[in-house]
Amino acid sequence: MSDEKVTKVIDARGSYCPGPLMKLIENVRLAKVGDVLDLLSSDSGTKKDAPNWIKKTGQELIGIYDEEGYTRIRIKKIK
Amino acid sequence: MKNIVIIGGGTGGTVVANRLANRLYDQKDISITLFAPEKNHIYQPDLLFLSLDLSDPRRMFRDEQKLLNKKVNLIQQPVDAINVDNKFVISKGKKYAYDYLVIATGARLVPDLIPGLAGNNNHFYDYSSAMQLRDKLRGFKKGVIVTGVADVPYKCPPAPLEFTLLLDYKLRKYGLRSSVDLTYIYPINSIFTIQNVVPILQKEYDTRNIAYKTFFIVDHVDPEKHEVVAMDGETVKYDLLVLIPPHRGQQIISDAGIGDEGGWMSVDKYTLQEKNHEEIYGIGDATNLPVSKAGSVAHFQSGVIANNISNSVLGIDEKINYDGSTMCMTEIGYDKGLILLFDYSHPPYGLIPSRLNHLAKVFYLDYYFANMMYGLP
Ligand SMILES: Cc1cc2nc3c(=O)[nH]c(=O)nc-3n(C[C@H](O)[C@H](O)[C@H](O)COP(=O)(O)OP(=O)(O)OC[C@H]3O[C@@H](n4cnc5c(N)ncnc54)[C@H](O)[C@@H]3O)c2cc1C
Repeated sequence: MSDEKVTKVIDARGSYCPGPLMKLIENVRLAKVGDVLDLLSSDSGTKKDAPNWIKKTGQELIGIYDEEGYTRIRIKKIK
Repeated sequence: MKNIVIIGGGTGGTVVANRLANRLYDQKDISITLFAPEKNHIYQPDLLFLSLDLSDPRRMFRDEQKLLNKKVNLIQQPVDAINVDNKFVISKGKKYAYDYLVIATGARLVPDLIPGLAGNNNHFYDYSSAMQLRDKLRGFKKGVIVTGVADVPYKCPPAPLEFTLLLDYKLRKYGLRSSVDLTYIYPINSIFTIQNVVPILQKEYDTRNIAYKTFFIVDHVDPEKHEVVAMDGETVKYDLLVLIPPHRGQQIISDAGIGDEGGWMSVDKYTLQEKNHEEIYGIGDATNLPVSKAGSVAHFQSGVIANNISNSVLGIDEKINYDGSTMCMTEIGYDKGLILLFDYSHPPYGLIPSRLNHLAKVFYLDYYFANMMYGLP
């Protein structure tokens, strides 16, 4: 796992609506450039959707880590 | 004397006040005070129908005082500040001490967060805007209507989609659909957030020829060109724009130091207690939980908060948890609807559109007020 200092952890486990991706979008929009966010999701679709969104919006995906029963997606706001 | 103070007389605040009053009706040394500045309580879901001329503006209001149990002391003014260290709130210069505080202040609409949106957009998220939109739609016969979401989070996640489907239905009914194009924009990679319902809704969009652009994250609106511009530069042209405006939490939450960057309260997802102050509870739209900003959520949460506060007051060592329960009623037009039920550990079920579900949504208003008055489960 990367050792960047995480600014905020977004616990979206168990979220079906609005869902992890919406929580990610909300928090990235509110974050400052340079902030590192960890999104926790128990939804398997997030592994694909979040990186697509990150790519589309030009943010930086630091890593995707499998934890017990959920996935941790680490992202840096770069613009 | 123990003081329970509730801020906000919307869905969550009113139900929690009545439920607490029901549970503590015979406790003489407990006071329940509700700060609710508006005289009338509004049933917000009806704004969707109102904007489309499908409901009567008189239907959706009730006198707040009449909805409340007599044990609740209603103060019809806003709270101006919360002092979380010394446990009091301030309203019109006066201090009100609390032993338990429930924050039920909902969301506020902040159109200015998206440049060019205010003044050029229409929406149905408050009464006067819904009435204005209704009047504009009455005269709209030709052109492109762009619907969707300007920012996240926003309350009632299916509402923009319902609006689009009902608008299509209405335009067809009046023979106007061939001269009006509909385009829907949404920030994620599909037209709705709940993935197992997307195929049903997608089919409706496709067969009814509703265009959509997904992953469309609004950056600004260019009123001169009549364009909505996305963060990646993509544009969509409109003649009439109907986007759900950005939402934020109330300023008093941020000022009290218990809000995140968006002004939403951080609460425990099960106990609904504020992360650093166990005597403060957050309910409904005011929190940053990963659940829908929906009346049904506020309603389910009110049972947990009323139970846990009243047990604590009475010295009963029993607590219950909020399990993420959500009910989402979604209209799709042609007198059909979906009712989706889910919680933190169960994905949504209820995936067949039916007329019965539609009727449930239409008549829910009466149930809502009756339920609220009596603090029913
Ligand atoms: C068009 C539309 C359609 C919807 N459809 C549905 C639906 O079908 N199903 C569903 O479940 N939900 C629906 N909702 C969402 C639902 O209305 C809200 O989620 C629900 O009202 C949230 O309850 P709440 O108590 O958190 O906030 P609210 O009901 O919004 O109440 C907040 C209250 O706090 C008060 N307040 C704010 N600041 C202060 C202060 N400083 N001092 C005192 N009081 C204050 C406000 O005046 C307001 O009365 C819809 C909403 C809209 C707009």
